[in-house]
Amino acid sequence: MPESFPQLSTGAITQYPSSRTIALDAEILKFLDGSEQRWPAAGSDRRRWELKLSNVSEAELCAIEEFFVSQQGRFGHFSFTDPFDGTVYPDCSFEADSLHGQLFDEESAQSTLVIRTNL
Amino acid sequence: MTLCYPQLSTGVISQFPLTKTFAYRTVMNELPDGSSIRLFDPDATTVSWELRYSGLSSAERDALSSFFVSTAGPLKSFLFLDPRGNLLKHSDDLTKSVWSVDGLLRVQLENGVMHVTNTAQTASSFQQHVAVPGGYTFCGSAMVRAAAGTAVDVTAFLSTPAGEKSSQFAVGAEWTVVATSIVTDADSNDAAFGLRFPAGAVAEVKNLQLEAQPGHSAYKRTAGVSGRFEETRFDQSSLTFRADGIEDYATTVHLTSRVRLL
Repeated sequence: MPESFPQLSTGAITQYPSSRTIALDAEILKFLDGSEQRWPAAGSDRRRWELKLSNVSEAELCAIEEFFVSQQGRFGHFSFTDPFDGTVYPDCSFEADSLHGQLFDEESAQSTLVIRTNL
Repeated sequence: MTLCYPQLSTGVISQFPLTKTFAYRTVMNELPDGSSIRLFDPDATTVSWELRYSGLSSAERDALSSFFVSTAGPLKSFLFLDPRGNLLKHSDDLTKSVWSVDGLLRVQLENGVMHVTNTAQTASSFQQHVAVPGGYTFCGSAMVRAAAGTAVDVTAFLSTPAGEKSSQFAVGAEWTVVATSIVTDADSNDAAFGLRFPAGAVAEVKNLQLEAQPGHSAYKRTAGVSGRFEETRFDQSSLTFRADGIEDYATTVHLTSRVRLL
């Protein structure tokens, strides 16, 4: 069973503002008479979340970093609960191989993460 | 002598704000159906820091400047004690060989908490040695609680070849932070942090941590990689100090370190 993305101390996954992108692509073939033929592009059904953690504690940042390290960046797979609607996506990865964490004091840190679903 | 990034006069490595970046490398081959084949490159892992300083004294400015000159900027590598790191390895597993555990001290690991029982007739302890530079300030800390109902006297100690500094705590059923700090002698190259328990003591221990600063901070769990980065370099060719006033200097330092995972 894959690991799960860690929650913050409040039980939330992320903070405001955060965004979710649903990507669905289609291949389009246009003909001379203006008609089209369309079909779904293979592997295009993806979800992507940009999590902006703008005010977390150092302990919460450490937990996020520890999870990122355990996943070895975008190499690992884990389950992720969509913070928008609670849907659990069992196969997700970090989109990037790097993670920046800024610590302003012991109770104030910030970081931005991007997570996406895998096929 | 190994070059080591200097501490400020307060005994800390850095000030706030502090930025730390983990960078891995995964080669990814995306197939037409959207699936992917991934290959992790363990030799490409790096950790980088941006250290922003303000209010530095002229002595602190000169210490950083001299260090930058001694490493010839980005040329030479040095030891960097991560200000956001835990210098202990396997911080939540006393069964690992990095820990020296007295023979009659029984340790059982459960969900990140170590159950410790001293079956000896005398005090017993566990400790971990860490290669650290002399003349630096360190703080060892842990969280302890009594497991058998009665209070336990726990001693947190930091020892060097020159001697030991310890602090004793009466620990009850609630989790209690036990910590001690030390400034190592100039010619010291080793420090050991550990806890000592009286005969018959039964306790639970977690969050073992050693940091290069006077006080303890949020716990960072470690496994095979600790907060000692031996292949750190300046990630800049120039170091600029801004004078904001008398004995008031500011600068930004960029460091990067290779991390060997295997």
